Amino acid sequence: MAVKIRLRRMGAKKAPFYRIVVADSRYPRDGRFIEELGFIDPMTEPAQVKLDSEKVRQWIRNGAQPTDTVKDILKKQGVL
Amino acid sequence: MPLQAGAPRFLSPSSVRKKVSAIAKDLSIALLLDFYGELLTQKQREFLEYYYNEDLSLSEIAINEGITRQGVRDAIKRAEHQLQEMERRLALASRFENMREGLGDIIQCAQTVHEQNLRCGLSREINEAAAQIRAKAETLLKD
Repeated sequence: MAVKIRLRRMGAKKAPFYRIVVADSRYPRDGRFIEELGFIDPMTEPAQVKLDSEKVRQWIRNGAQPTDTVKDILKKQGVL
Repeated sequence: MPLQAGAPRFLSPSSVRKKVSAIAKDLSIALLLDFYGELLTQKQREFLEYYYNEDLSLSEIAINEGITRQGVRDAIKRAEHQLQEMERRLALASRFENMREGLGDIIQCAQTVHEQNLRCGLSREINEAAAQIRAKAETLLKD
């Protein structure tokens, strides 16, 4: 069973906004997730990001796989 | 320019595209999907939603759908291309962004008028007009 750190889109139509969540890779898209780690708002300049870096590191140490998109955000935030 | 201060700044889709293209997925596609998604086939829309809104990988979508990764990739690329083509012709997303930006400026401007009036003029008419402009712009911004 793989655990992933991925984005999940929230927010209204025409206003994308993403939560960064930990979720089982097989979770169906019913919105279930294990834990919320932060969010990214790609519509502002610069994209506004809020992250619990400690939790992120903890999850990655425990083998959670960030998606490429999340990996890139983590790099930019200096978490990875 | 007093208009620049304070309010959140929104980007035109072209600069959104430039800025987010550095991350692996281009999140501005999600924006185009909001505008033109209903013009795609149901399958195309589903794939793009999995890919951009749920952040699934190509292989995860392939497993869920029981088709090859390459098949998913082709379908997504084709659908993205269609969305970009619609945006190129209709420019609904970029117009929407421009309008949102303009409304933000208008709200700022009304606020400046209001503050100036409090400091010097104390005109009730100016105060009310500024409040109306602001309220109207905020309503439009929410639509």
